[in-house]
Amino acid sequence: MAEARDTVLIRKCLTGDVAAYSALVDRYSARIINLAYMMIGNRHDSEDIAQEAFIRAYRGLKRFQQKAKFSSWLYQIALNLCKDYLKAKVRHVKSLDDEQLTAMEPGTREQAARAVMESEMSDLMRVAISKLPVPYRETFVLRHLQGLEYEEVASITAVPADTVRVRAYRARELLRGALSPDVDTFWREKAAKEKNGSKS
Amino acid sequence: MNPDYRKIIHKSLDGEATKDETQILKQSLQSDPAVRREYEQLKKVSEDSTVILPPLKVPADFKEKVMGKIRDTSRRKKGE
Repeated sequence: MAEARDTVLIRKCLTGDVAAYSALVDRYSARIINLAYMMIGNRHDSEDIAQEAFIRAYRGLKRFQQKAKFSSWLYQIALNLCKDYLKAKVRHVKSLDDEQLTAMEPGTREQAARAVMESEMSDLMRVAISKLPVPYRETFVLRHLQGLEYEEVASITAVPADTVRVRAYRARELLRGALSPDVDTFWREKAAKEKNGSKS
Repeated sequence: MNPDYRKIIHKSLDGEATKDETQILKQSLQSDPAVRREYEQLKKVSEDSTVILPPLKVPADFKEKVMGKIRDTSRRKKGE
């Protein structure tokens, strides 16, 4: 349904109806900004990347093969921009490698139970996602934060669906290692708060 | 943990476990606290990640900025 609506809007854009494109920007801006934010971890720059993705998509509409979904193509453009941004950043900041990621596993992190505030848990999760190797990160973000099926993630990232599955499994394992026991404490406290809230 | 269990946990989280695998996992979740803990933690960092990470709101002027740049480019192309 959404695909059919996109196709109609794209046809209008190709006949010179610039306003039709604003409907596509409306439809996908939240997804693209959030994708970029989770990939690069900087709010301001993620908005710039999202803007650039929409502008490049508009300029490339004539070349767009409508065999693919517009959203998948837009995701691809945004992801490529994110990767370029990260490559440029790596020149200045050495990213974590797999060896360092193992330091995030349980046993090396502080295991003491403590209160975990909601905003703190968000920050912890964002940092943990930002430390995932890029192929795992993009898979996790597309699959779990954008809610896409493996086949669509495969089409966007141009790798076989089974590889995407393995990447998602690995990403989840790394995040579990990085976030336990904080994630347990967070959900326990959240459940308790909700229980108390429903009583009052 | 047995790597087969881990694979079944991931398949179950994705809704891709077979009936047999689901049965095996159910039994393990009931009898093995380690399997149960790992399952719950993986569920929390994946399925529930959108609760931990609420999405950013789109800035009010985002669309206008994009459309403004597109219109500028179009005008330049037309030589206005």
